[in-house]
Amino acid sequence: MLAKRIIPCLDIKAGKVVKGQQFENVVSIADPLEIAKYYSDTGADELIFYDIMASTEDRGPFLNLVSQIAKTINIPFTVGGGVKSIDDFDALLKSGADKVSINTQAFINPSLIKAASLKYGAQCVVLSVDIKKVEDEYIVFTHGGRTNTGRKALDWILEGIELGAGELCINSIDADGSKKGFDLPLLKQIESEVTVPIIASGGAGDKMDFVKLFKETTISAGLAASIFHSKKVSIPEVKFELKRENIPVRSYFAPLFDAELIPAIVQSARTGVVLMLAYVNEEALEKTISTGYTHFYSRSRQSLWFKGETSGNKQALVDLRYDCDNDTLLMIVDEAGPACHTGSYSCFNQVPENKNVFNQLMAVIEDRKANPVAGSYTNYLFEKGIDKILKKVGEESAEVIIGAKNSKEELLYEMGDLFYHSLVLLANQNIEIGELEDELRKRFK
Amino acid sequence: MTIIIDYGVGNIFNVLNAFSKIDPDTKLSADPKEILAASHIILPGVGAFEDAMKALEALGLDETIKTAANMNIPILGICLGMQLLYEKSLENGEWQGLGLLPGTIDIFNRDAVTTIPHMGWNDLIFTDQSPFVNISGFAYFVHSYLAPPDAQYVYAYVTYEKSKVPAIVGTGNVYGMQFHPEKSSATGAKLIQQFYELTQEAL
Repeated sequence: MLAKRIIPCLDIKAGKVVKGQQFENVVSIADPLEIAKYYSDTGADELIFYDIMASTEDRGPFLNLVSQIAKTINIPFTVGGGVKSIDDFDALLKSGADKVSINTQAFINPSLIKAASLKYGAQCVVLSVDIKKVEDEYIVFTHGGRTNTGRKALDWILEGIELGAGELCINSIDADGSKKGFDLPLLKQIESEVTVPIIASGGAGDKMDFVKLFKETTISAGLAASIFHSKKVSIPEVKFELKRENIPVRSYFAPLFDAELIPAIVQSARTGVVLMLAYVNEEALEKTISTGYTHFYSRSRQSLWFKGETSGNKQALVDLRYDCDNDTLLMIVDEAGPACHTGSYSCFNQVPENKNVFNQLMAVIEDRKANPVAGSYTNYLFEKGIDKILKKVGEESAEVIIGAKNSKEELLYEMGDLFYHSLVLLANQNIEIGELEDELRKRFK
Repeated sequence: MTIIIDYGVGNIFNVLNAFSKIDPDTKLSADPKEILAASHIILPGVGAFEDAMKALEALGLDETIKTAANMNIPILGICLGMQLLYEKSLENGEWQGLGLLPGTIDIFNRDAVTTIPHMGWNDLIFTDQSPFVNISGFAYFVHSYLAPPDAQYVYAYVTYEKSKVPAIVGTGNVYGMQFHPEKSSATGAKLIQQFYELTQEAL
């Protein structure tokens, strides 16, 4: 089954990867060789490089860079930017590019598409089109989105395919930089009219945008730049999410499993406590994702191990993350019971810590209730009973109102009194603070 | 020495790069003498079948490759290079190929496939007669025409929409890969490595 492609895009200027919206305010962010290798190693299905200053700078250094990158990676590699002639195609392909992307120059000189397609094959020619909605019509823009050509997007795309373009890269100017997701209305309109593969570009803000793209369209590839460069999300994380939605992706852990086994740290989503550390092989990770429960590889038994299968203390997977160099996993789980075989909550013998001051205060109040201490004001309240406690809550409420009118300091002091007495009230009524938390949580929308 | 046949078709930079990693003594050549002295011959190729065959014929390399096959020198055709190994192709006409594998290269059936070319990563499924072992994973494909489904010669295939696409083919010391092993990450590197292991005896 054909996998959906995830493609990082790198804009190159003066030998550096840069990022800027609409080609303005570009900032240099990384060494292209380093970043190309990182993406290739962590499951990118293809890379696209644009030489954004191609028309104004000497081409030589860029070609040199292309050939160095081609030597470094072993995935397909598309190069674009300022390609004007068959000679440009020739130079890029000889330097190691697999495909060449053309945009403005193809629009100015459509015969370039035909000539390149005849000479190198349609699969080599990626027609990149920048599109913006103008008065309810999708219109082609050129020159980095600055020139309105007035031409309807679909007209130009169909002409480009007729001339021999083998793939389309559809960049929505409206979505670009918005991080609100791919431009699905535009993409749906184009996919229904063409029979060549389409790369969707512009708007990816998080991993769910890729899920939406592939669930709602038949488009085969999604391109993004800044969310990958900023490490807001990694390619394995996108692929994990796609796999969980049963969208076919190329094994996103292949680069990880040169090592056979990799460590997985398991952390409770609820308490944040590190529960355990175990190892996964490819099969265990696959099972974890497909079943939604953690599976590991037991080194002592040398077999797959479904955590909680016999004890019932299963761990439902909430999120999966990779560390900075993608060789350790963090599994964030919702645990059904203790993680450790000794019965303790965490294999590191940690218990959920109530860092929250309300939890700490409540713990003291509960402790006073269970183990009364002579001279304790809290115990005095419990002894007097509900009417006394309610009277105090009423008094403190009134003092909060007065305090708020006087000063910040007085408000804080009185509010502290009110919270304390409210917690005593809860404890007196045998209500746990967790129940109050649940009540408040219900109100989040 | 591994020889990558250099007949002016397509991008062989990356093929040279990938094979050099496994056999450092890999070079490009269009010289029949050098080709027939090779331990392994790689036939790359992208573009149109007709142009590629004409380019081989113009250099007299069609006969060289057939002679090499007779001498049992291991040959690996990649992408269009694989298609050239067949008897003929129906790509924009009808063209004779090298005839090292029987059958005809044809375009995808439009009833089975809507998006052409077949472009991207696809999951290899190995057949019982595959000499390649312990490999699984995705390989990178870009093509619009495909080899005949003759089970005898198919070592691995992929499914694309409703079509079953021969991915690795071969007979004896002649091998073909429809995908680009040089662009197929770790899986591609393992397949190249095994091609050498499988054909070691012929040295």
